[in-house]
Amino acid sequence: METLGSLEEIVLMILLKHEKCSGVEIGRYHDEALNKSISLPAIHVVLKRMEKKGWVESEFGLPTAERGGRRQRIYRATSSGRVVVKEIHEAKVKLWSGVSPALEYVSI
Amino acid sequence: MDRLLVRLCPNDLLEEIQGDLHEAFVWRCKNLSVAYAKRKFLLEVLMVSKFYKPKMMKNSKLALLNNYLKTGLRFLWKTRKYAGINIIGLTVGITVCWMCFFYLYDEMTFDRFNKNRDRLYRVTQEVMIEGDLLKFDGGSYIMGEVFPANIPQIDGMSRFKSAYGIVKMNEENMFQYMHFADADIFRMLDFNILEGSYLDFGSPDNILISARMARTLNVGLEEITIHFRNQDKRFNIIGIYQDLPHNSTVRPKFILPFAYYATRAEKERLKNWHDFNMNALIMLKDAADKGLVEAQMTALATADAEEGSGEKMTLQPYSQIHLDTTYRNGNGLRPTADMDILWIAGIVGLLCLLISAINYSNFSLGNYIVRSKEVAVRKVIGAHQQSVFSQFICESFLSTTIAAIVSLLLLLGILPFFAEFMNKGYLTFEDLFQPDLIIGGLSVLLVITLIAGLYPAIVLSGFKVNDALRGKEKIGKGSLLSRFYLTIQFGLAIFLIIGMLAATRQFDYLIDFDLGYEDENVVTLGVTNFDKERLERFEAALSAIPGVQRFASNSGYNGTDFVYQENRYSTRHIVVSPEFVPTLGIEILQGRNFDPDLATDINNSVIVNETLVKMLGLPDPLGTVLPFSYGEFKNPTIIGVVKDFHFYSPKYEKMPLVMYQSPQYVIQNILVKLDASAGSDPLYHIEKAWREAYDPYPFEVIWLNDHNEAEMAVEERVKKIATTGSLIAVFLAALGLMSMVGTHVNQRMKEISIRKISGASPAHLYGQYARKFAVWIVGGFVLGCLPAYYYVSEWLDDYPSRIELSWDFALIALGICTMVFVTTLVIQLTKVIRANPVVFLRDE
Repeated sequence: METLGSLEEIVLMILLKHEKCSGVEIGRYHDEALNKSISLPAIHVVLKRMEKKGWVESEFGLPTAERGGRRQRIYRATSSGRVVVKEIHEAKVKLWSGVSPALEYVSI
Repeated sequence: MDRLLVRLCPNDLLEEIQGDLHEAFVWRCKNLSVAYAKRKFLLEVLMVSKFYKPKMMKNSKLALLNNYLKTGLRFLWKTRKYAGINIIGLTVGITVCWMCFFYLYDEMTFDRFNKNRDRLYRVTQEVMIEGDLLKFDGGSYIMGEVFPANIPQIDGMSRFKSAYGIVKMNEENMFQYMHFADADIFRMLDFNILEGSYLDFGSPDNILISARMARTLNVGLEEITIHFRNQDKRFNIIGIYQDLPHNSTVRPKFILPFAYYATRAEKERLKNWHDFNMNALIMLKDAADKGLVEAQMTALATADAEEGSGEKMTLQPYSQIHLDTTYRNGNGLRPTADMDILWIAGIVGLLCLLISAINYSNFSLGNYIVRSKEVAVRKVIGAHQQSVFSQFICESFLSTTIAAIVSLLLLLGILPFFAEFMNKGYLTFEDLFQPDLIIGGLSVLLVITLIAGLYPAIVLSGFKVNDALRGKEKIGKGSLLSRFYLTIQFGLAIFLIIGMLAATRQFDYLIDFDLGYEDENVVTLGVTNFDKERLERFEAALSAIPGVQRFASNSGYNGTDFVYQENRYSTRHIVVSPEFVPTLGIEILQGRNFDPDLATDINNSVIVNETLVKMLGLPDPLGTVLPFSYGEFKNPTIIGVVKDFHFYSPKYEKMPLVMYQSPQYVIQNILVKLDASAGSDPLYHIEKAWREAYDPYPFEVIWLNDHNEAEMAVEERVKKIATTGSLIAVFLAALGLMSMVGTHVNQRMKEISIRKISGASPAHLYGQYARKFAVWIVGGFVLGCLPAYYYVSEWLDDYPSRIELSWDFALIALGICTMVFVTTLVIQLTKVIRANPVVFLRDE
């Protein structure tokens, strides 16, 4: 099974949820979901890495005025990306099933 | 910012990232704040540098540089044993140089931090006495009253005088060094008042103390009791100032007003122009004429004096006080460094640097013979002489940088010891990182790089391609020069070893010197209170303590002169108690010691030493009436002659001495001789007795032999410097020799191999090389010996009691050098001689 960095996992999950996203949008979703801000180049680094591994693919979108006439690059998760996240998710669910009573205990 | 982004970001990603950043910026501006968006944008642009890759260097020169560095590193790694030693040599050179530089810098910047440094002066005097121009420092109380009031160009003036007071510190009475000053001093020097102010400093009850002292005493702006000149005095602390930096000549802990001094001093002293027992600091106005002020001062000071006293007031720039040893009176302003030592430090630093750089270049040449082929190939491919040249400069820069980093680490380790060694315990590693020092350090690096790399670079870039490829090229042209260096290095090593031996011997000699009295098991107690009743009480208590053999008291040694048979003689004299001579175990040659029961002994008898008898030429000294007088004590009779003893350290000439008892007895020391077997046990009881008799004076006890050893601090330092210096010199010389032999041998592999095949024995080969280099070592020996003997005997001449300069110093030095020489030679040669000759003969 492939291992995923935590930021990689989050970015992949965002891509699965929203299908097509540009870097900025991923950044915004990240901020909303985790309630803390992240710098864009960090996301770019992760995206480039995952693109190399074949978990995400990208295409150029349309230029907008906000971007000063530059084109967007739109990312999308590939099927192998989906598989990786899914495997991780299942493994984690399995792990969590044993943890929950202990977690409750701790929370008291 | 955008432009930076374009620089940093690779082209293929630029469009996307720049777009994203702009979009995010707009979005953040809308939803959050503009400032936040800007901040974030800046941060993110900087983070794009993650994508920046050095391989994007388009500049071919940079690419070449990259290649040079890589080849250089590989070569260093390949020859790591050699390169290691080589770099160690450089490291030593750089470290020593840096330390010297650091030391010099600290000395040269002493007192430079003062804002007003260019306007500050100290009053000094010049006077002609019998044709000699005498210069001395010191001011008198009245100067501070008269000068500022009468000379318009004086902006501020403060007298400055040191004193001792006793302060209670953690329930313990402690002597503290204090200073009298005038209020102007806070304006003249860079005092930073943290609490309170100095406005009321004019009152005799108000003082200021330093922040550190306030912390130690745990006081604020409150009353404090100082026991001062035999009486308690309550002062108000009206201000607390930040301690002046360590590189300041003036560093008072307590500042007391001269208004208080005036209440205690005798009234005549306050009006006497010649009562030079303090310093006078002056701050001139911006455009003041120093010469004019000096003339005005002279006129004021000599107004009531008789004509033609020839006395002149002069001004010494404040920043020169630290280094100018002409003026040594002290009183809070004392030169603490010596121009000579500064020169030595500078020369040593430079020499070490030069030697290690030369060693490096010799070493490199030895190794680079291996690389002549690489150079040839580069040239064939199209490298210019210039580019090969820069390659080797590059490599020497690489080695130098590595050495510099290592020596920085080394400095980190040894700086505390060095600072201690140089009496600069306050220096820390952080002090190294000042702009001036960093620039200095970097220029040292550059200079080393050039010196070390220049010669190999010139030689190697000048190769003829054909010869190099065929393995014919030899580097023999510079060998005379490098042999000369080798000779100088060995000379230097010999010089320093002889210096070290002489300094060590002289030091040991002085330590073990027969002083003429016994300083073992004797403690001295300094007394500053002259109360007779206290002394009697203390002496009564002392005699009851077991383990105390005897005790005595004495005044300080003073000087005076007297006329005997129409000749003027000067002599030292001391007031002692009758027990003084036996307590110190001084040998009586003629006559007797003082008898406490004889009244004439107290008022009319002296004991003199041999030197005095010799000086006066007395055939039968006992019973002679000496025309000596001091105060009430006049024309005594000699009742005893003692063997000369060194009451000062044996560093000085023997001096004539008169010992007497006196009714007006100004006691300075109590000497207590303890039983050898008692160790320091009686000290406890002595302390108790002291506390009862001499409260509140702190109990400070010094063992006489410790005191005598402390007198040798200068010699100790010379010894240490010479030892360290000679170690480094021997090490560097060994390195130099190693590189020389290495170069030589590497070029003659074939010759040696052929010799071996034709039947030369290893012993024969060693002998051959030993002969070759021995000539230069002997040259170095002569070169080192002669100046060493000259300077050492010059140095020893300053000591009246000194060791004989003997030839065994030279022999030992030669022995050490020969040993190093032989070891190095054997190490270098063995591997060649052991090698299989076929390896070297095969390639043609």
